[in-house]
Amino acid sequence: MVPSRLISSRAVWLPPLLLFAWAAMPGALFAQEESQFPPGYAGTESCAMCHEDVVENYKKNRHYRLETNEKRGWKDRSCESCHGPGAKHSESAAAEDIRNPLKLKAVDADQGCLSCHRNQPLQIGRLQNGHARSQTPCTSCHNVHETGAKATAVIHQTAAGVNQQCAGCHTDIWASFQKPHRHRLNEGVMKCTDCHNPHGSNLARNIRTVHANEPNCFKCHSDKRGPFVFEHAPVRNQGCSTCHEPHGSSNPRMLTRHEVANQCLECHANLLSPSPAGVAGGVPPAIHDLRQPRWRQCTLCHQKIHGSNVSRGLLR
Amino acid sequence: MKREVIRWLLAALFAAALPAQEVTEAKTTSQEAPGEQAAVVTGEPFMRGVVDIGARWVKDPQGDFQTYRSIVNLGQGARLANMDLNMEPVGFKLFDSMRLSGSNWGGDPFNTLRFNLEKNNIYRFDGTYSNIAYFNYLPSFANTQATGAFFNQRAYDTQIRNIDNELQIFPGTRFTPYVAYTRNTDFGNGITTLVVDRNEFPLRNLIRWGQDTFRGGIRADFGRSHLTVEHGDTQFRDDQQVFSTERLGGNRGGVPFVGQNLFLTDGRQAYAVRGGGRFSKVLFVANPYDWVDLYGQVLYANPKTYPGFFQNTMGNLVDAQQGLLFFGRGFDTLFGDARRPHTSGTFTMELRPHNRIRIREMYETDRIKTDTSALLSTQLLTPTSALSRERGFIDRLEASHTRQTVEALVDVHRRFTIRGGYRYEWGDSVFRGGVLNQFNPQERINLERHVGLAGIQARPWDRLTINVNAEASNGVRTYYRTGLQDYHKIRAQVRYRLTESLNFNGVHVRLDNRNPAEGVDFKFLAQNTSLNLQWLPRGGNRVSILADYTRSAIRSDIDYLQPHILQPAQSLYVDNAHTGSLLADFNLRGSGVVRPKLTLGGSFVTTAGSRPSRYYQPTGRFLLPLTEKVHFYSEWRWFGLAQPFYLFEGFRTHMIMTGLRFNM
Repeated sequence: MVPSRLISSRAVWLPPLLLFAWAAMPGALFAQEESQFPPGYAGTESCAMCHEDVVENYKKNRHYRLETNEKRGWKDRSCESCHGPGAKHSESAAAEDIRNPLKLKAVDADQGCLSCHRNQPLQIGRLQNGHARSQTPCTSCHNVHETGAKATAVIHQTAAGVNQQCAGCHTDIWASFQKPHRHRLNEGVMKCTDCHNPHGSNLARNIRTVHANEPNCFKCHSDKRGPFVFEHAPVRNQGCSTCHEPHGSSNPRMLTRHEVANQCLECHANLLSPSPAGVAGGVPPAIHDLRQPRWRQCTLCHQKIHGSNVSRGLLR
Repeated sequence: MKREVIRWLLAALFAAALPAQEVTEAKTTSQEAPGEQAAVVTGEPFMRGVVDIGARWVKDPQGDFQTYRSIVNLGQGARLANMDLNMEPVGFKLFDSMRLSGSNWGGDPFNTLRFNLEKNNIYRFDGTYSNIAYFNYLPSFANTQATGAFFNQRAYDTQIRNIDNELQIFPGTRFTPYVAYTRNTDFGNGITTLVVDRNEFPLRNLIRWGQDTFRGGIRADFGRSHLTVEHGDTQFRDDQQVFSTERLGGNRGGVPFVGQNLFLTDGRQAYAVRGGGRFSKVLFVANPYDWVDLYGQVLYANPKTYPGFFQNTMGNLVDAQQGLLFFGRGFDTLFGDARRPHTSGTFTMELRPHNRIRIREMYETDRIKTDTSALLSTQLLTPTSALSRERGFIDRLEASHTRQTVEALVDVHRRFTIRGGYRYEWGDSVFRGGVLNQFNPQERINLERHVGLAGIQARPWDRLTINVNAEASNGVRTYYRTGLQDYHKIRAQVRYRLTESLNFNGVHVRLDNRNPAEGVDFKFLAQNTSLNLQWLPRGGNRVSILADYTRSAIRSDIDYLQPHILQPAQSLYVDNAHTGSLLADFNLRGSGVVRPKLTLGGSFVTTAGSRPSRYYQPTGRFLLPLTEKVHFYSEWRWFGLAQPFYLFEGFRTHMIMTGLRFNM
């Protein structure tokens, strides 16, 4: 009979020995074992066998982090995070056996991206967004495989890259920036996404917000932010575009009218305010004799037109 | 100062690069881990990028130099035209990638700098700096009949600077804390008006304001839901000063007032505005089931302002507050307080009950309430008497705006989607009535609008995409005479890829808005039609052409009352514009690395109507690679502005920039 003490001491070594033996065995013996991937998935290495150049490029791409990140759940099969299970395609090599987001209808392509990217603050205004309304897929602006200068991450860091991309569809808006009075996009110092969030915003026209919920105009023009002791109501309840054409205009100060007097008097023309029609803007006192140029430039005197801390008439 | 900054940045860049390079070399020789080997074997340089250094010559602008500066403002001299450096050292502990880019340094009115630093799964830092010169000296904006100093009233020569920094930390995949700092400043000179009752005097204006914003928050990702909580604070200060010690006759042009000439011998205004306020936001996204997405946000800001104001005037001036009082010296002092709680909330939801149907519900609300108070003390001294008075002001402004939208998108076919919906908008606003408004010291206006929404998206075949979005409204009430009332808006876009290398894009936008209410009768029509062509034969290897043309038209017609006679007059604004731009790249034949590239193009705008203008900006660019790493480039541009109604505000000039591009 073997002493129990001896048995127990041998037994201590048994599990590590077995583990070592298992680990040291040739892989061929386990060829019949189940794949490390869920059913239907082939893994990135399989993709690389045919699409070597694409995968090599992809290695320099931000998405490639999925390949090594266990927490995201796509380790060693990150291609299939966008393209879906690829085992069938790897056997047949048929295009119809794999998902190509570029050829999917927009909503399906977007759902693929959103399965990971929905959980981002950028997407909060997604449903109010014109891009979502017009079914513009993510892949219209984001190319996933490109690297180097053509990578979306690189393009979107330069003003020229962003502007060129937006202008590709919004040709009519880009035309406004060719006018003499405009924001400085052509000079490369501003880009469309400085003011607009292409993924959506809670403000109309995808205007970005600053300081939680204020229009992004006040990020650069914080002197207009206020609050002022004497506010000019349209600045607050209708916004800057009441008087300004923010993209570009033939008129100085990007105004929507050629003369300041017209700009102001189109609203300030009610004998009673609110008028019977319910609109605000009372007519100025009779000293404003429009026959003299002095009175046609309202902001010559009403210089604090965006709001004043001193004068109810916005004079100082 | 700028050179100093560049020097420091370059020093920092190379200091950071040096250890990174050493590490890279060490890895190459030792070839330790297999994963790292793979990265090293690629043999890619640890730093890539491009640096453009050159010099610019500007021919003395013909025409009005001030208008040139107001619109173009580019000067001459040596420049760092562009820089974009990207470092990805292997195995460096502090960062995985560093990117430094900037443009227009060395005296240009527009400078940018961008700095990104990232360590995968550890942190990410994004910093940007921009400096935009704001020079505006357009006589047509001021008093066009005045002369001398009056000719340039409301002129500015300032610099608006923005600094943005954000640091995100990735302790794991679930929580991402971040902190950010933003600074926005404006500094410079100008000319503005000091208004003393019946006269206005142009004075020098020292503009100096700035705002600092600090914010921090945390993003939490729980797989199917996400939460962001952010809190921030702003600090604002405005120290604008207005002053003159000259004898000024003012805008009356020497016309006596009640037999007396009004003049100013000494005028000073000092603003001391301090402000700030906290803000918070909570963002929420959830996808509890595959068929529903929920988005929500609650945003709150409470900016406050504490203004101080001091005015000191000397001369012969008039005060008409209590009769007509001619005084020789006046003092004004004001202290005030303003606060504006501002709350916004949005809740949106997308339901996908069927794989062909999506239903969207959106509720958005925005509420502002401004409460203000101020006390103004005035002292007026005449040769025989002194008058003191104090006036208190209490004001408020409230505005609320809410929109509720429901719409459905139906995929009738894999290539055809229709969209339809309804939006109801309502709001009200209360504020103090105008100075003359004796009937309504508090004005209340309402907004109410019913809007029908529709759209189609069709992709009959892969090469063609058609998008049409339309909305039509039967407005019940609007805030202002020119606000949206009865309108219809349509945007149609067609994208067609004729061949792999030839793409067309066409856009038509039309907004027709009318307010037929009695006393308003507003008619507004804006139309844009754009065509865009992109031709890249053989992948753009030899030739690539980008061209677009836009025809736009605005016509606004509304009556207003001439204040001095209270008679109606027509305000008709017309702007018919043709706009085009072209960018044609030609890769010319060459040998070896010497393969020159020629770019021709530019843009033009011609407008007719209320303010006709012609603005041309042709350009040509030549790039000649000298070696693989060094290219020579030269660029010519021409700027020409002509405005028939404002001939004194035209200019034209040539500009040549030439230099070397270093590819790394």
